[in-house]
Amino acid sequence: MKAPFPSLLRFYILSLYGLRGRASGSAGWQDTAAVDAARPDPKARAKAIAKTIGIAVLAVMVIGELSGMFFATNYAMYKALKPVGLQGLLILNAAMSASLLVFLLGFATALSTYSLSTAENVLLSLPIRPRNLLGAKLMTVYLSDTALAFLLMITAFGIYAWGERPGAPFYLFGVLTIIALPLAPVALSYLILVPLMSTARFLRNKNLVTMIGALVGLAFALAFNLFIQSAAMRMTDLDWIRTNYAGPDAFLSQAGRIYLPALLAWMASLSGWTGFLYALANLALGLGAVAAVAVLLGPAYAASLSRFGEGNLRKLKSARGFIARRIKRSSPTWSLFLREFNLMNREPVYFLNGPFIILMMPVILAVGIAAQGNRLSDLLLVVGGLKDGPWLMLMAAGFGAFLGSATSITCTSVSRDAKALPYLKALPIPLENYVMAKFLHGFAFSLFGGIVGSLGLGLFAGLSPLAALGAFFIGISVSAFVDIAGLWIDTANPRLSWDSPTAALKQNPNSVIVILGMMGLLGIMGALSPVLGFGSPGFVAAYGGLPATLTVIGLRIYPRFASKRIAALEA
Amino acid sequence: MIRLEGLSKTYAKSGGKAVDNLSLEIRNGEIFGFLGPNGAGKTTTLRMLTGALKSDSGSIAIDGIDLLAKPLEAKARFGYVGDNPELFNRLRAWEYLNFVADMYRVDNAARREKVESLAKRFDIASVLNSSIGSFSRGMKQKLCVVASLIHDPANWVLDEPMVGLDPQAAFDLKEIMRESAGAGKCVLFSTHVMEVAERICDRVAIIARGKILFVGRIDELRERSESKGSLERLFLEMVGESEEGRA
Repeated sequence: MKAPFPSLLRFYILSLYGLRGRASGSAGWQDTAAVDAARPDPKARAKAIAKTIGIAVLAVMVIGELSGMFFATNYAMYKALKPVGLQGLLILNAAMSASLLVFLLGFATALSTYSLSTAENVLLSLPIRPRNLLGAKLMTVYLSDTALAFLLMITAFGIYAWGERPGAPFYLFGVLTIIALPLAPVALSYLILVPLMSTARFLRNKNLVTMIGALVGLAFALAFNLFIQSAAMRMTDLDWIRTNYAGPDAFLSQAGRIYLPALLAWMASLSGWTGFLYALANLALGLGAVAAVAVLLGPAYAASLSRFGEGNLRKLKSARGFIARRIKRSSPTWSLFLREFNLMNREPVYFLNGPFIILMMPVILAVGIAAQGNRLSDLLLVVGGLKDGPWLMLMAAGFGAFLGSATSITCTSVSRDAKALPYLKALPIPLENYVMAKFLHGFAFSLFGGIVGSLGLGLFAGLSPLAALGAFFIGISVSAFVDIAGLWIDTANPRLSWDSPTAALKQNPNSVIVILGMMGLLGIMGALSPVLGFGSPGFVAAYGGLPATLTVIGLRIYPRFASKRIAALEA
Repeated sequence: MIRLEGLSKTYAKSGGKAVDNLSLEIRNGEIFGFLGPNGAGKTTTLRMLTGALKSDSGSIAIDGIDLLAKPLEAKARFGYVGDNPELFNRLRAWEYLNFVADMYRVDNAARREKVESLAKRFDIASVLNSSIGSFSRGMKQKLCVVASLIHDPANWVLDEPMVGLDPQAAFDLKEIMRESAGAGKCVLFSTHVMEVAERICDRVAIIARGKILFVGRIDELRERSESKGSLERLFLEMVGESEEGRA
C-alpha cells in the first residue's frame, strides 16, 4: 500500500499537467489511458512522438527567451556592480526577483487550480488527512514554480561563477538555495488564498476564479513585460544601476534586510562552507512554512473545497411570464450560430484563449511601446515614413489577419462539440448548416480582429481611410481563409476524447498547427512583398483577392466533406 | 412506428462487433423496453436509430421513412433523450429549449404551451433562467426529457431515462410514457433496471453481446424460462447463458 501523500502528489501532477500515468502502475486515475496508449498502434505512437517533439521545441523556445532576458539583465548588473566590489548583490537581487516572481505566478496558479475537477471532490470522501490534501496541492504548485525560479537564479549564479570563479560551496549551497527559495512564496500564496476562499462566497465559483486567475496572470505578464523592457532600456546606464540596486536606500537593500529567505540565499551562496548553515536554515524555513500552512489551514482548505462550485440556481417568481417573454422562435441557422457564440464565450478557458486575444494583443503591443519610452517617437517617425507606400497598409493588414485568426475558434470547434455530437447528429438539421454556423462564428471574430487590428491600427498610425479599408480587406480575407482551413483540419482530425473543456482546446494539436501555419503564411507574404513590389491596389488584389477566392472555393467544397466526415465519426 | 432490419455495427477503433444483425419493430401505441447489461449494444443501437452513428449494414425506418434516404424527415419524427445529459452546460435552460425547438421548427404558441406544461410537471419551471451547469444530474435529465417532447413527436426514443431522476420525476416520466402510448405514439427506451421494464413495458427485447436474445411480452418471457423466479432472475439467466455460450 502506498502512502497517501506521494499518491496524492502524483494525482495532482498528472491532473494539473494533463500527463498520463505509467501503464504498469497499480493506482492512479489515468492508468487506463496509459494502457491504451501502450498498445502497439503506429499512428498513435507517431502522434505521441510528434507531440513530444512539439512540446520540446516550445519548451526550448520559452526557456531560451526567458533565459536570454534574465541573462541580459543580470549581466548588465554584474558589469555595473563589479567595479565597486558589490557584485555579490547580483545573488541577492536574483533571490528577491525569483521570490517575487514565484509569489505572483504561484498565486495565479494556486488560484486557478484551487479546485481542480470533480475527481478532486471524490478525494474528500476518502480517508485522507486535510493536511496531506493541501500539502500535496501546495507541492504541485511549488514544482511548477521552482522551474521558473531555477531559470532566473541559474543565470545569475552562472554569470557570478563565470566572473568570480568561486569554490565548490557556492555551487552546492546554490542548488540548495534554489530548492528552498520557492517554498515560502508558495506557502504565502495559500496563506492568503485559503482564508479568502473560506470567507468570500462569491469566489467559490470556478468561472470567476478562472477569469480572475487569468487576469492576474495577464496583469503579471504585462507588468513583467513592462519591467523587462524598461530595465533593458536602463541597463546601459551603469550609474543608474549602482544607485538603484546597490545604494543603502535602494529597494533591493531594503527588501533584502526584511525578506529573510532572500537574505539567507545570499549568505548561503557567498559565505564559503559556513554557507551550509544558511542554506539549511533557508530550507528549514521554507519547509516549516509549507508544513505550518498545510497543518493549520488543511481543514479549512478541505472545507472550502467541499463548498466550491455550490449550485447557484436563480428561481423565477413568475415562470409563466418568463416563458412568454423568452420562449420564442428563431431561424435554425441563427440558433446554431448563437449556440456556438454562447458556448465559446461563456466557457472561461475558451474565451480567454479565443476572442479575448483580440483585445489582449493590442494591449500587449501598447505596453511594449510605452515601455520603450522615448523610442516611441522614433517608432512613429519610422512608421510615418512608411505611410506613402503600401508598407504601412500591409503591416496593418498583417496585424488584423493575425488578430482575426489567432483565436483558435474554428480549428477546435468540432473537438469542443465532441460530447454533444451524438445528440446534435440526431437533430433534424443538415450537417452542412451545423458546420457553416461554426465558420460564421469564427468569421465574426475575424471581422472583429480586422476592425481592431487593420482598421483601428491603420487609422491610428495615419493611414488614409481608403488604405485602411484595403488593409481591412486583406486582413479579413486571410483570416477567413485560416478559419476555413482550421475548420477543415479539425473536422478531418477532431479531438473527440477529453475530460475537461480545457483539453479540447489547449491539448488540441490542430490549434498549434493552424496558428503556426498562419504565422508562416504571414511570414511568406511579408517576405514576398518587397519582391513583388506592387502598389497598394496590387497588394489588395493579390493578398486580399487570392485568400478570398480560396475561401469561397473552400466554402463550396468543405460542407459536403464535413457532412460525410461528421456522419462517419464514432463519437 | 420504428423498424430496424439487419442492423450491424463494428467500431473502427476497437474492432469489436457492438451490434450483430439486429432486427426489431416497435409498433405505434406501445411502450417497448430495450433491456441488456452494460456494453450489450443498447446505446449503439439507439444511436444508429437516431442517426448519430452510421450502421455498417441494415435499414432503419421511422414511420415508414428511411433514415438513410431521408434523414431530416425521419429525424423530425422522433424525440430523443440521449444517455448523456451533460451537453450544453454553458447555456441557460430556456436557451437550450429554444435551440431544440428551433431545430424542429416549432412555432411560438406550441413551444410555449409545451414548455409551460412539461416544465411545471417536472418541477423545473422556476429554474428556466438558470445555467444548465448549475443543475443536478436529475434536473438536467428532466430538461432533456422536456426538450425531447417539445415538438410533440410521434416516436419517442430514450436511452436510460430513469438514471438520476428522483422518485416523483421517475413516476411522472412513466406516466408521460403511458400517455404517449395511449395516444397511439411509439415509445422505445433502454434500461438495465428490470423492475421498470416489468411495470410499464408492453413488450421488451433483451440484448447481450450485440444480439437479440428475446423479443416479446413479459408473460411470454416468463413462459419461455424454466425457472419461476423474478424477471431479474430470468434476465440474468438468459444473459448469463449468452455469455457462457460465447466463452
